[in-house]
Amino acid sequence: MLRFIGRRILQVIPTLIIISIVSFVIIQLPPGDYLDTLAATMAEQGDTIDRELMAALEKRYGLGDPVYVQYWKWITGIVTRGDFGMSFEWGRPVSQLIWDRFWFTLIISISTLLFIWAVALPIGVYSAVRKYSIGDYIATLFGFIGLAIPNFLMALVLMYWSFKYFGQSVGGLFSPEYVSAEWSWGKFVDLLGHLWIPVIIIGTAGTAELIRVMRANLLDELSKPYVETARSKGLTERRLLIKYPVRVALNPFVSTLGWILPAIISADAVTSVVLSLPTTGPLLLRSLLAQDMYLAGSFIMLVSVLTVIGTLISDIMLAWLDPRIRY
Amino acid sequence: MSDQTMTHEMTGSGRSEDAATDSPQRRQAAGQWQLIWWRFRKHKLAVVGGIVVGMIYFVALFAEFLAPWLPNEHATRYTYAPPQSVNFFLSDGDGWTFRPHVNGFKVEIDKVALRRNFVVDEEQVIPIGLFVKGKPYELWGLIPMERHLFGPLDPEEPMYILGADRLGRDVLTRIIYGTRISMSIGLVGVFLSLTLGILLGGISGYYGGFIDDIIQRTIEFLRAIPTIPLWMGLAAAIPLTWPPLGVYFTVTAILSLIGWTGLAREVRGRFFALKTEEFIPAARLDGNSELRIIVRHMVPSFASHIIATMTLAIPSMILAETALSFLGIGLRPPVVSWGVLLQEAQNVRSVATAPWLLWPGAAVVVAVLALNFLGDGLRDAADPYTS
Amino acid sequence: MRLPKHLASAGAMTAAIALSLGFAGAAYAEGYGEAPDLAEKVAAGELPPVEERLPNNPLVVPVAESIGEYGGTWSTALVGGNDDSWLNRTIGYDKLVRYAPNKMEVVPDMAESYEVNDDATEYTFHLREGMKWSDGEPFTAADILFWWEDIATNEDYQKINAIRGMYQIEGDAMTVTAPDDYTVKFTFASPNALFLMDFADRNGFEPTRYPRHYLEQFHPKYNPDGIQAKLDEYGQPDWVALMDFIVTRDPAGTGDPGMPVLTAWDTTTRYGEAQQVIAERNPYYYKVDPEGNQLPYIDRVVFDVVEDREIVLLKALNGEISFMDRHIANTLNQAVLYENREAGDYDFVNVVAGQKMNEMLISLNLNHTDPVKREIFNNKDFRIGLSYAIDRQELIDLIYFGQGEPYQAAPSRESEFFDEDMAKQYTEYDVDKANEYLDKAGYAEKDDEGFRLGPDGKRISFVIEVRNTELGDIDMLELIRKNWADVGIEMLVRTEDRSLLYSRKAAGQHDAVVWGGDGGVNVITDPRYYFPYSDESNYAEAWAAWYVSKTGEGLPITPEEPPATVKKQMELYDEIRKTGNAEKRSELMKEIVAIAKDQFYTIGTLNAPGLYAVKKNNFHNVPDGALHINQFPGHLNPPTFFISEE
Repeated sequence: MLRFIGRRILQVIPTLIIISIVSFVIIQLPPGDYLDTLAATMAEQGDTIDRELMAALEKRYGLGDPVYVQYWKWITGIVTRGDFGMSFEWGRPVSQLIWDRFWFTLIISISTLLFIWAVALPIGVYSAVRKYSIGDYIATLFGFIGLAIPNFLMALVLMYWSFKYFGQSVGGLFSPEYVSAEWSWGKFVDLLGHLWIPVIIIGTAGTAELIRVMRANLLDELSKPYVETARSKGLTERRLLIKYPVRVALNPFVSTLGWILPAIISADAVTSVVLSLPTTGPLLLRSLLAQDMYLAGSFIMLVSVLTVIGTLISDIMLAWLDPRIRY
Repeated sequence: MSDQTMTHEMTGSGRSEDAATDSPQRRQAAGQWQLIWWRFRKHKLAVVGGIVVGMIYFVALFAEFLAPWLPNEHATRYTYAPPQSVNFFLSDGDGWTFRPHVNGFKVEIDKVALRRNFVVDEEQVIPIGLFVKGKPYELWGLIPMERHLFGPLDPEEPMYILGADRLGRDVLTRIIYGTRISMSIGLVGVFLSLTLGILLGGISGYYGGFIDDIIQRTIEFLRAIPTIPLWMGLAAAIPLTWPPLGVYFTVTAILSLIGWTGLAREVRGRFFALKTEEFIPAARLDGNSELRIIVRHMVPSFASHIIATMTLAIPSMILAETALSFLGIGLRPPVVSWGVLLQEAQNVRSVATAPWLLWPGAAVVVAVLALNFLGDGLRDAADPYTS
Repeated sequence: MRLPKHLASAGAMTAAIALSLGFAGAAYAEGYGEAPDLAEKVAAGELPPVEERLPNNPLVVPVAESIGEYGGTWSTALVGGNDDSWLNRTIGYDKLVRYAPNKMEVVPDMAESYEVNDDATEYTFHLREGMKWSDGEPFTAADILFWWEDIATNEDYQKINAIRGMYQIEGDAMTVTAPDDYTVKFTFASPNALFLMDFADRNGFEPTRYPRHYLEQFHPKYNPDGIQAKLDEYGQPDWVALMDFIVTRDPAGTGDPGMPVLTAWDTTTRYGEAQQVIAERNPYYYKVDPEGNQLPYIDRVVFDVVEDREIVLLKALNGEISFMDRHIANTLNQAVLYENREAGDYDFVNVVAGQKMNEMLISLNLNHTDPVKREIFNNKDFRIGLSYAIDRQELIDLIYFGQGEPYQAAPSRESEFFDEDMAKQYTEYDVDKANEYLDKAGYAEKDDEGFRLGPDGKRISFVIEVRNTELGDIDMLELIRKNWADVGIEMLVRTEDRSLLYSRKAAGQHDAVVWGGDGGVNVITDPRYYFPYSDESNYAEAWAAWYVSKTGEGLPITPEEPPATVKKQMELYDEIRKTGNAEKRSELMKEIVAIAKDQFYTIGTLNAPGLYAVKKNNFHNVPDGALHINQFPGHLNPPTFFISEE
């Protein structure tokens, strides 16, 4: 077991190096660079950007350098000084930008996760126990509908409704008067008033898979002999369920840690853009579209590291649960 | 998008142990498909899903005939025309007669608001019928025809059952045409990723060890690289003069490039489990080549699972297509897909002033739900446990 | 100069007289009004009295509707991380000279007055005595000298930030001198007649953005020992980067929150650090209303930083936007905004399209690298034929609900260069004429599918590139594609990301692109569609490159010497740059425009209906029918905007 873990950890290092190089190259794959985006954006708004300023920015950002020089500057900055570089668009250090948005991202991710579990587990258990009943169909339909509605559409419609019928201030996590205010009870309530939309949208998109897993695992368990034995001993259905099968069926959830980690950071970028959430998702998306190189590169690094660590954890967990997979 | 691919793996890994108990069923291999059918029938929702999926593909196949108009036919007078309701009976003073019709509009332009105001004109009756003569088209681009399943008897009259968009194009027609692109993009994409997934997942799971390591790291790597700049780069690389169809296939290829990794991990899990079953060494002793063992013996043994997985992968492709369109890097007009239609509707002004433009969203919901239930039913049926 | 105390009692009367003469200033003495919260601070001894905060001769700004009331918050929004321009347009347009509200006329602002010598080599600005930065320190010629000598022309600084084009003529930088504390003189080696117009535009903000007393601490020359500590504190690699970080060199940067400013509101947060940018009233602002009340009326301006412009639209519908046009007030949103007027308690203000003279100009690449396409595109009859083939009325009816008129790339009606003939030439929809011209162009032969053949015997077919965000353009092109197919020309539409389009066209790789037409009233300062003037001249990037730099160093395209007629236009424009006399300049520009009319570089579509902005019903002093120029709404005097209690 230890050897297996050791070997996997060693493999992580080259993977990360390759990811860092390739993601850096891929970010630059689309023709043009950040300055083209900037110039195009400004021209679109009827503004002009003068040649001198463009030349100055090109020098400052080192955009004239060959890609490998840019890569080397960036990666050595990260490894030696923990410096992830500057964001062109925001003119601020990448680490600060990500950190500023980290807490809100965490709040949303955790609330969403709790929402998913709260919805998916009962439905999953119910639809396994009452397989093919009307209740099963209704519960599953309800659980799946969120998956079926494209997130950006749901976000827009919910937002419009909350404005139209509740007169709520839309976008972001706070009403304008609270955005820059100190934390207070009012601000907290205001946050809750805004949080439900993203939680429902991102959450409902994830319930379907969990319902499916829960149901399948539980069906597996229920068909095992010990359940029959327990039933024949006269245990009530409810006690029987909670006593063992549900707990066993929950086991594989541990391995879902693998995808939860990176998802916390990248969240659901599209939904977050539509809702204008102060989270990391929109930052990532915008940096990719605008070719804000260091920001995008660092983001991808971060997400990759979390993906790789997540996969590592889930592999170790799986190996522990089912020794056959190891070899 | 990434969430969906990630979770495929999750289900796979969670259930890789099922395969071990698979053997009693396999002994009666002759009756396997029969058994699956019996089990599938029990899942009513899946049966309904299956029927709906069948209907959707039928619509996709005969889009030109089923749509009352042509998808890119604009009408200056009817921009943002609201949906008309279909009435079957007409009151002619002393009773009702059966005469399917829609009512026409009175249209005037509001110069300050910059829009057309529509008032339903009860006086103006536009009779509609089945198999009417309309705009000429070519079925599958081959057979010239001009009959449409239904439409106004006089093709010059307006009929917008689901309303019109900003250029006065019929929303219903565009949804019907969009079905073809959106549903086939799912099929083609899944087919591509399935091929890659089975091949690489199979190799990975069958050989294990070093090869497995390499393939697994490649998968990790592919999942970590950002797809948006990749797609932007490729979109820029597509020659300008390519027909929309070329662009369409590129989108599909990209989508499947992202999609195969989850499947590969699932296949790998099953191979690990299957490898220990007695019939594999037996086949090897018979002198079968490795590839032959994979393709002839191992793949068929979980073909039903693969079909189920495939059915479940199509909806994520459909959703991915809409998401790419949302970002402005997916399919583009004049191609008509559900993603393109939704992109045109994904703004506050449509939600507020022309909510009927969101109908393509309903099409997506129905298709995704139906495919999911069908897939679930297939998976239940393919799985070993029976009640 | 302060007035003696005994005159103060006559203040009100004097003010009335001064007003009626259109001449104001010192006469108010102690009659100045100020915001209640500032008055409280004065009473508490935290601030000096208003007459000491104002310059001796404050600028009196007329109000569009009425004298305002103090207070309130102007709520507006920014989209993403580089929307600086809206900041600059709203709270940043205070500078030495500026554009007058409704005509393209340069008027004094921070400068009390200015003079230009006859051959346009010497520009003299007279500053306001007693004018102060927002921290109460005096603003004098020394600040402008600091900017020029220690920043702009500093050797280290220049390595990163080259001197702006407007401060140079033929490669020579101007010299800046200060005969006394309140006079600054910009001197050029040779005539630079367009300087004042450029300087009044938004980019001329620099001379008044560098408070010497505050910035010396970030400059190694003045703080050689302490500079390292400052670099560490701000985490910047060198002093140039630090200086740019503090001042923010972007055309509209908000600067470091601690840095004093001269503008009406001073930002207390840095753009990008939080989800809002907040700007508070500058108590030392140098402008007053006609009754002597110190401006601005509005307490603070709050910009919500959002990710998506749809959010801005929803905010506007919800009545959360006080006044704004950017991002939301376009043709597409007009119906939904109109419908919600009552619920959102706002209304429309009409705005006249000033700079934009065309919704969509089709620029065929006259410098195409493919000789066949180049030959075809350069054939004027071909372009005329295409123009006749467009059914512009259908475009107007379908996309603009019948509002708007067919228009070519020509100066707008508000401009002195307007020429009805030029604006309307070849705009009628006439398929016969189109065919006639295309035949005349030499492309009468057609293939089996009915498409015309080019000089190489192959079908004429080209791609028009369009930004994927421009729904209206894409729709128009779809219709034009059908129009052109009717006369045997195959055109394909390709939508793509704007930065891709931008880099492709800058390198001259395009067949054709479409873009909105600028240069409607600002004909002289933005002649991009009248001759190949800059890389925004989408129809002839290589010729424009030749005009900008003969060597092409640092440009994405190889310059190419244009034909004689085009060169003639370039020479005329050089002549304009050297002509001090405004009337003479107009004469020369008319010649350029006349040649442009004959050359018919690009194919125009239509001139859209009037623009509008969204304004809350309690938000006042925004003039109706204002001209939309680059500075909008900065040139409309935002400090005079106010919010009434109701």
